[in-house]
Amino acid sequence: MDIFSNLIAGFSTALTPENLLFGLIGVVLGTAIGVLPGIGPALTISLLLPLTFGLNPTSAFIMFGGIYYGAMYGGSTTSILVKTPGESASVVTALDGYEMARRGRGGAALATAAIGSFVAGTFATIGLMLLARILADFAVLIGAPEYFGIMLLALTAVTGLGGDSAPKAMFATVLGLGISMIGIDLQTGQARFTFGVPELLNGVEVVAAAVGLFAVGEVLWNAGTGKNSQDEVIKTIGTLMMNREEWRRSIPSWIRGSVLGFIVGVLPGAGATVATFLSYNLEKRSSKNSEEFGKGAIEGVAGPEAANNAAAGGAMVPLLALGIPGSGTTAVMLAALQQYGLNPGPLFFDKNPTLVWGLIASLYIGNLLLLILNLPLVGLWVKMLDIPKPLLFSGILMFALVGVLAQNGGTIDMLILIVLGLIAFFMTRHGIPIAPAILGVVMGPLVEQEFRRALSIGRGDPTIFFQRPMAAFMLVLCAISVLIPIIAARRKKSA
Amino acid sequence: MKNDFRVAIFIIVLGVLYLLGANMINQAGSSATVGPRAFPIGIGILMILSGVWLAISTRNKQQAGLPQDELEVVDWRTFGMSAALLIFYAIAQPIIGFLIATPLLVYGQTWIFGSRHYKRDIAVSILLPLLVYIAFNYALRIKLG
Repeated sequence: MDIFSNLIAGFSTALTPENLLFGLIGVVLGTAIGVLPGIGPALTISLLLPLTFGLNPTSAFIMFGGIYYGAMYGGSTTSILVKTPGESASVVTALDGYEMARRGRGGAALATAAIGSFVAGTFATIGLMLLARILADFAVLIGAPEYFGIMLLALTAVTGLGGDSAPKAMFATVLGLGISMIGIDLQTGQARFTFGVPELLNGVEVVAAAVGLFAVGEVLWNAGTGKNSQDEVIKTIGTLMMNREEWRRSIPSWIRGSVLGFIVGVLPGAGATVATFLSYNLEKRSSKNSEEFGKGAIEGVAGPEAANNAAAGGAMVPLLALGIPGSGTTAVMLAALQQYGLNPGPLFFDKNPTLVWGLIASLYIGNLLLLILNLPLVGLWVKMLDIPKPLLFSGILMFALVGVLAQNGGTIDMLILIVLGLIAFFMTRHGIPIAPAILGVVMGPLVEQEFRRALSIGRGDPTIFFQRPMAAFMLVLCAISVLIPIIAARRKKSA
Repeated sequence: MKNDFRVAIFIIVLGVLYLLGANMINQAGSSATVGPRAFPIGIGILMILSGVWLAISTRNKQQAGLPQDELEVVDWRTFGMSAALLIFYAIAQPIIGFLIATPLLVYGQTWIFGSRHYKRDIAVSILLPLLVYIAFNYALRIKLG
């Protein structure tokens, strides 16, 4: 039972008073920022990441786990109490959550979201412990061509799920890859796309890319399109206690949401948003009160909220075991790990047991802190929604720049951030999604490295990818995932 | 959708420029199996392909008579002023220091975004940067300039 002894060791590192304090600060800040409308987990994490730079890795992780879960929880609070949450993973929760809040059952909606998240988080943590280890052991056996195939699949899956805007999702991914090429090529020492600017030699930092593209871009977009009016917020939450009927209806939804969310989270490219949509459909179909959906059915909150948290845990599996992020949020998490000089992958568990198990334990503690702290404090979080938009936007811009300064950045580094924000503004204007670009920035160097390794195994012969069955299989899956939207478009046209 | 055509053309041009940039990468003396150029060239090609794909799918949608997406109206003055102030901060901050530049940034942006609550906004613009400064320099021990 080495998982359990490892986990106990993880908890003993995570549970010192000092670390608990950092966990607490993380949860509070994560929720406070995450509750703001339009600010999702990926953005919250990248904005708050600089706060952890000065800490030792273990404390930083604990704080980070708190920020992560806090941001997720904050997002669901907004989607229940604000009519237009403005963030994709909350859209589904808002359907029934807001209706519940309007009928005076906001407290129950918040409670089922929080308890459901806790149930799902617990389930996902256990799943993560069991599955990540197995996947890591398996991953040790595969080589660079297979790795390249898996990474490519993670990237093409985003395009495949892009639906109507598949070409735009593809462009966003490729743009991210393109940005990641800037700087010195580590293998040959050649400068690429630096145009003689010394600050560009180290490349564009992933965190800077995330903050620039998400935060600066989002603020410029909201300000530029005049979205400065306050949102309609429901203030009367009612009791946080769920009644017997609500418990009875929530429990099966939590379980279904947890299982579904975890599976979707492990798969590349899908992520929390897809998990919430699938879960909502599942709940609607399996419910006896399906006519209530859209009018305040508690299952419509319980299921997706559980799914969304379980997906976040599931996405940690490929992240920790393979070093491959599957979504914008996990891409930022990978960047966070890299900040501490850690490169997740098959050997990560063996090389850094204290850190890995400390991280898993800290995610769990973040989850628990949320349940016992955040639900009673909900009145405080709702007050965050009263912050006038102009002050909120300037504050976000300030924190974005502070993030650069905290890493000793100068004028050029700040300008890079601003330019990325301007790029994101125009991407949003033309309906090009931002998250795939972040994924591209993170994955670029990794994909190139595996590609090179694979070709040197094949002594420069590109057919190496097709000589190995699993690599070939992955590439076939990549092709299918790109072809799906094209075929779907054809079908629609002929229909 | 007419706009999506323009976007497609822009993407294709960007892809071509990226390819040109990739060709400028110094390849000499590289003994690696895959040199520093190969991957960027692949990216440039994929970028052009995504642009072509967007153009084709836009044309198909037009032929199918699907509704056209309208672009949101942008207040370019607000956007431009906000971006300009950010650039000003990037240049001025190292010269005049965090504690002077940041209140100017926060107040300026708040004003640009349309708030006219002078007393409140000025108070926040002074206190928030001060708080951040103290938190980073003393509590987190990260030096802000």
